[in-house]
This record gives sequence, structure tokens and C-alpha cells, in this order.
Amino acid sequence: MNLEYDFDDIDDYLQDRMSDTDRAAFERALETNPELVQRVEVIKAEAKVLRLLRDEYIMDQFESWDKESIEKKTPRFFSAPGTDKQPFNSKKWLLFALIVTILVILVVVYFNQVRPAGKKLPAVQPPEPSMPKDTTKSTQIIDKEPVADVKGPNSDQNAAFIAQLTKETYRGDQFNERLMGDNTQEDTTDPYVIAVQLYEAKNYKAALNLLQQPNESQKSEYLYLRGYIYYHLGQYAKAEQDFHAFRGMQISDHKIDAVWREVFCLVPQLPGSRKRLEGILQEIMSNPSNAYYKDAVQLKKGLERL
Amino acid sequence: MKPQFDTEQELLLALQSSIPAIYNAALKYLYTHGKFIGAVRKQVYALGGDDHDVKIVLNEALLEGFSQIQDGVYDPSRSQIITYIVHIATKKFYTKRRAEGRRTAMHLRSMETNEMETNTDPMFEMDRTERIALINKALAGIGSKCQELLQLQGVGFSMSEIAEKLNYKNQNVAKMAAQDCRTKFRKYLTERPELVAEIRML
Repeated sequence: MNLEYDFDDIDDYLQDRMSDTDRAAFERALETNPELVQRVEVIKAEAKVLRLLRDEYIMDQFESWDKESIEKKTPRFFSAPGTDKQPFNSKKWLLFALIVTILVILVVVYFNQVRPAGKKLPAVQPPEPSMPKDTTKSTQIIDKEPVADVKGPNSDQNAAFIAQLTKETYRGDQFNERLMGDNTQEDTTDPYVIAVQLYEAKNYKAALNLLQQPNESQKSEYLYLRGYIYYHLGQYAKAEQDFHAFRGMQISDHKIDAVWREVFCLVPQLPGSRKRLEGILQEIMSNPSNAYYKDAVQLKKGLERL
Repeated sequence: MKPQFDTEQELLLALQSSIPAIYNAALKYLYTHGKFIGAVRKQVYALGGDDHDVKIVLNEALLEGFSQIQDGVYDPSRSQIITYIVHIATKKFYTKRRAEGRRTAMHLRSMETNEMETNTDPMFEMDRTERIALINKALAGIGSKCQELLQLQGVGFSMSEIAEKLNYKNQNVAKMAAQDCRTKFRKYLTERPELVAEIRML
């Protein structure tokens, strides 16, 4: 038995933790001492067994990950070469969203800047509500932009001008108040109340889903809110239809407002909606006490320049 | 949930770790990495292999790549981890195919049968069974508690984790038990030079 070197020393030798002098001495001892050689072999075998144990553990892990992927019905191996598709992670989604945004911007720029004359005008994006709630005040619609530069009905300036008109004719509304003067406490399970909350959170599609089958007693409220939702979704014709239906309701405090809402739905549909728009403006202008009289006059002037 | 590594450096550090939870996450990331599997598959297909070969080669290459990273053999300045392991896989499969070719030629010379079809790779299964049998043989003389302890130590669990898993009072008790087990195991091996030789040959 070589007492000069114990298992720890052998471990140090194998792990390269010995000084050069000690290593040289150890190697000299190895040359002359077969028992030490055997002990070194034992330590090596021990390390190898521990490594094999770890490898088996990892192989078991591989098997469990395979089972996991089979349970998720995502076979890892059994598909044609080159068809592996990784699920989209958040980075890829961001990249995808960025590319889509750039494409949308390019399309918008193309239609606004490069679009050849004679082609159909693009739909105008719905503006964000920016006007005060008080709808009785008149606003300057026409004089804010140099409309003298407008060249023709199909020019690019017209598209920009219509977009501006769309923005300026828009009137927002507060929906947390009941339209028909009903000030009772809100029922949080009422689809209308939920739709209002969704609308205010700009979740227009979800709000619209709740308003597809109106309760008869709340039909006017449904129509009014749905008109706004369609407007924000860029579905101006449907919005116009709802506001039009709303003002046909028997009892309503907002009939006059609804007329103007119909107007602001018609503006982005120009020039196709021009005849209908002029008809409604004429209707408003026939009554000088109408709260929207001045707005209608100015919009009419603006239309003449288109 | 699938682990994510944002950089090559993060992945490398995880694979170099001795903590099972960390290196396992890195291994799982590679094991489920579509690009990695795709690259191994491409190489195996190019050498005439099939999906089953892909699975075996991928497991072996991943294990070997991991061992090389842990042993400091892998040089990150020369190639990326995935490229490195795909290279190991290709090399392994090529060697395997060559050996198979030799075996088949010998077989055809000595037997009149042409082909043997199985769903599993007999050599791989044999290797693994042999490995497990040898581990069991080596650990046979140290008792079940010591076997478990060495197994956990081999995997890389810390003494506190081992103490928790094997119900030792604390990590110091686990450490002492581990020392006893190692001494016992070394003694057992010392008394069996033929077993040591067998392990060395594996």
C-alpha cells in the first residue's frame, strides 16, 4: 500500500491541481508503483461511473421531453426535412407587426402621394374623437385649410381635404350617460353597459359583438352607440344607416345630434355620398335655429370647392 | 414551458453550469430547437438516414456536445454551439454508417439473408443496455442509499438538494454520507480490477 498518496492526491493529479514538482514526483511514483497505478484507475473508473449516471439521467430527460412533445401533439422527428417550424415568439411577432405596419404606411403614402388621377379615392381612416362634447357650438370647418389649392374632384389634395373634413365634422359623445335620460344606476351585467365600457376602451369589435341583437327597450341606445362603433371601424355606410335609423325612432332627445352624426359618416364616403350629404345639409340649413346650422353652411361651402 | 436563451453566451453559461436545473434548461432548449433538429435531420438525410436515425444521433450528439462543453473542450471562438453539436451529430452518424456497412458486408458474407428490419437501432439499444448493466454492476456493492446518493452527485445536485431528496438532516450530514459512500465505492472497485477494466473499456 502506497501511503504517500491518498485518493485526494490522486484526484488532484487527475484534475490537474498539482504543482509541476508534485506532478513530476507523482508520475515517477506511478512508474514504479503498480498499486498506485491501480488506485488511479479506480478513481478514473469512479469518475466515469458518475459521468455515466449523469448521461443516463440526461437520456431519461430526453425521453420525458419527447413524451411531453407527443402529449402536445408536436412531433419533433417525424416530419419531412426542412419543415420544422418554431412557434412564433414575441420577437417574431414584433418583427411581423413592424413589417405589416411599414407595408400599411407604404400603401397609405402611395395612395396619398403617388396614386394616379382617376382612381377611386381610398377610404379615410376614422379620426380620434377630438371635439368637445358641446355640440351646440359652431366650429370653423372650411377656413382652416387653404382650400383654394384644390385642383379637381379626384386630386390628391381632395383626398387630404376630405380627410380634414372628416376630422372636423366628427363629434364625440359620452356613453356612460343613458341617452334617453335614464339616470338609474348602471347594471354591470347589461350588455349595453359593457359595450359602452368596451367602446371607451377602444375595443370596438368586442363592443359591436354585444350590440348585434338589440333589446327592444334599448333599441335607440343600441343604434346610437353602434353607429359610433361602425364609424370607428371605418364602416361609414353602416354607421350612417344606424344614425339614420336612430333619428327615425319615435322618442329621442338626440334626433338633431343624430342628423349631424349622419353627416360625419357621409363625409368620409365622399364623393360617392355627395348627393345624400347635400340633401341632409339642406335639411339642416332650412332651420336657422338648428344647433348645427353654421356647421352645415360651412361644410356646404367646402363641398362646393371639391 | 419551453426555455428561452437570448444570446449564445447565456446558452453557453447554462451548458457549463454544474447545476442540473440550469444545464437541463439549456439542454431542453436545444432538444426542442427547431433549427437545431432541422440541421441534424438535413445531415442525417443527406447520409441516407431516416427519422429514427435523427432521434438517436441527436440524443448522442447532444450528450457528447454537452460533455465536451462541460469539460472545456468546446471553443466558442471557433463555432456556435448548435453548429458544433450538429457537426458532432454528422460525424457520429457517418462513423455509425461506416461501421454498419462493414458489419453488413461481414454479415452478408457469412449469412445468406439480405436485410434485417427493426424499428429500433439494435446497436444503440445494446450500447445503452450494456451501459446500464455496467452501472448497476459497479454500484451493486454499495447499498441502495449510497447508489441513490452517488446518482444524485453524478447528476450534479448540491449537498443541500441531496440532503432534502434523501432526507438527511442537513447538508453537512449529506456531505459526510457522500464521503462514506465514495470511500465504500472506491474500496469496492479496488477489490475488482476486472470491473475497473470493463468500465475503462466502455
